[in-house]
Amino acid sequence: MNTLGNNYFNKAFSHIYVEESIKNEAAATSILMGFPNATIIYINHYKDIFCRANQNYISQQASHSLILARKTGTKIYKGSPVCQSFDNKYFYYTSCMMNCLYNCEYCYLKGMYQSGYLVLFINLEDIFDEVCEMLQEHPVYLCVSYDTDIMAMEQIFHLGEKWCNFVNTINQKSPNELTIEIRTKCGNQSNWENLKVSPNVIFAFTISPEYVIDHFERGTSSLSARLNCASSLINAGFPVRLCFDPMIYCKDWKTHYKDMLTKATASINFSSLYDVSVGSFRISKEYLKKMRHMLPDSAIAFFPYENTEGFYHYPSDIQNEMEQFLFSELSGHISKDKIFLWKE
Amino acid sequence: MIYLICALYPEAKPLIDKYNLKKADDGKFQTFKNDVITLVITGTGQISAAIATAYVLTKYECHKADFVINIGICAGMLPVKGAYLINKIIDISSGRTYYPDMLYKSDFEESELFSGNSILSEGNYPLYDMEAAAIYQAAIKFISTDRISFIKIVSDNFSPESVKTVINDCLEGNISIIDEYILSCKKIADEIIATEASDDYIHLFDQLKQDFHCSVTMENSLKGLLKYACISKIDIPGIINNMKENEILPCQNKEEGKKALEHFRKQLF
Ligand code: SF4
Repeated sequence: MNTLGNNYFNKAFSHIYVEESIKNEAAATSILMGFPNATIIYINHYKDIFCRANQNYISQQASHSLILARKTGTKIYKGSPVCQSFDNKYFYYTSCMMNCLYNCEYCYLKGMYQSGYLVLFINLEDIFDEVCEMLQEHPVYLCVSYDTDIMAMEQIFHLGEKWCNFVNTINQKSPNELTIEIRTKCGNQSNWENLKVSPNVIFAFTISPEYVIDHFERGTSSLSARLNCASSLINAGFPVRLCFDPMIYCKDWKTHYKDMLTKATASINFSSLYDVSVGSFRISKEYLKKMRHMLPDSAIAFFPYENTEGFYHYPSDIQNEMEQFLFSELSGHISKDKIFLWKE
Repeated sequence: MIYLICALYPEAKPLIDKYNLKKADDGKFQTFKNDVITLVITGTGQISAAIATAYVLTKYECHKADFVINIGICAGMLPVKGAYLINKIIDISSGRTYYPDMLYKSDFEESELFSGNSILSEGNYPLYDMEAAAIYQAAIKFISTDRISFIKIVSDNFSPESVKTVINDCLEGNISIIDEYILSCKKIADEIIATEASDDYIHLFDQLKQDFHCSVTMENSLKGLLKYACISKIDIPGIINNMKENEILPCQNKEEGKKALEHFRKQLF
C-alpha cells in the first residue's frame, strides 16, 4: 500500500485539543507541559472533533493530533466475539485511549472510528473505581491495551506503569483477583524499567514475521526488539504471552512464519511462556467495507475473503493451512494446552 | 484541483493575478480558473457563501483529493494585516463550532475565528468574518475535514469603513505565505491521486466474465479476485493464457465456469 509522504504533515501532537472542563486538572496540565510547543485548542466535548462528519482517517493518522478528554458512561466492556478470551469467564476490556500511534495496515480501528485523532482519557481513576466495584462480585480479566497500544506511548502517558501499580495495590485488598493483559507491538526496553513486577499483569506481544512488520505494521518495533523485550520480561517475572495473531497471508508466508519462529525460539524459552495464541486475520464486514474505501490499493483490504456470519476471514483452505502450520510448529516448543487457537 | 473561495473581487484579484487565472464562462458566480486552481467569488454573507461553495464544487465535480481554501479579509482585535490559519470557527448565529483539521505544516499563525451574519462596527473577537462557518458547512458535504482550510487576514479592528483601502495590501502583503500553502496542498493532492489504485482489471473483467460464464454471484467473485490480483501485481494474463492452453477457459456453461473460477482463485495464492 502507498502511504502519504510525511513532508507536508505536522509532527505528532503539534495540536492538542482539550476539553474545557478538564483543562485545569493535574492529569491534563502535566501532559500539556510535555508539549510546550503544541497549539492548544479548547473544545466542549471530544466528540465535537472525533465524531465530525466526513473525516479522512488516513490523513489524520499521518499527523496525529491528540485529544484530551474525560471518559463518561460505561468504562468497562464485555469482550467482543472476535477476541480471544483465553478461557476467561470474566473477560472484559477497557479503552483509556482511542486510536494508536502505530499504523498497521490491517488495523480494524480504521473501520471502527470516524477519526484518526488520538484520544486520551485522563480520568484513569474512574476506570479503576469501576474495576474495584466489579471485583466485589467476581474476578476480572481485563484487556487494557485495547483499541490502541498503550506501550507505544508509555514514555509520554505512563499508562502501563499506572495499570501495574493499580493491579499490585488492588489485589492486596480486593476479595477477587484482577488480572490484566497489556497487548503490544512495542519493544522499547526502557518502557518496562519502572514497572512493578506482578504475576497478574500479562504482557502479550504480537509476534509477526519481519516481512509482515516491514510491510504492514508501520511504526512498530522490529521482531528482534519485541522478542528481546519479551525475554527480559520473562526474566523479570512477568507472565508473557506471544500472540501469533493476526497471521497475515502473503506470498511465501510459510517461509516468513518459519523464519519468525526460528528467531522466536532462539530468543525465548517457550516453556517459560504463559501461553501463546494463534489466529489468522479476520474482520467484521462493516469494518472491511470502510477499510476498502480508505485503502483503495491495499492487498490486505482487497484480499478475496470468505464471509461467515458477518465476519470476513481467509478462505477456509488458506485459513486452516496457515493456522494448522503454525500450531503444529509451535507444538514442538510448547505444550498444546498452552496454545490457544482462534475459533469462531 | 484547489478551490479558492473569496467573498469579494478585491480579495480575489491578487490571487487571480498571481496564478494567471482566466475568467470561466459562468453566469451564476464569477469564477476564474487555470488547470490547478478554480477561484469563485461568493459575495458577502453566509447564504451567498454557502450557495457559491456548493455551486462551484458541484459544477466542477469536486474530487476527494481536492482542497477548498477560503481566503479573505476579516475584522478582529488581532494586528491589522496579520494572516491566520483558522483552527476553530464559532458560528455566532447558531452557536455551533467547526474544526478544520490542522494537519499540514505552514508558516501561518493560527487563531480561532468567530463567524456571523452581519457587519460589526464594534466587537472584541480576535477574528470575525461573515462567511467561514457557511463555507465549512457547504464544503463538508463534498470534501473531508482535512481538505478545508481558512486563511484570514485582518483588515480592520471593527471599523468597516476603512476596509476598502486596505484589502489589496492585506492580500498582496501575504501572497507568498498563501502561495506556499496552496503549493503544499497541490502536492498533497497529487500524492493522493498517485495512491489511487488503477482500475486496469475492469477491462479484463468485461472479457473474462464471458469466458467464465459468470452468474451474478460469480461476477462479484471474479471482480474481487481480479482487483486483488491487480493490487498484488500478480500476472493475470499469464494465468489466463495458461488456463486457455489447458482448455480450462473459455467455459461452455456455468458449471464449468464455477470450476474454472476456483482453479483461477487457487492460482492467485
Ligand atoms: S498496534 Fe494494534 S491498535 Fe495499533 S495500529 Fe497496530 S493493530 Fe491497530
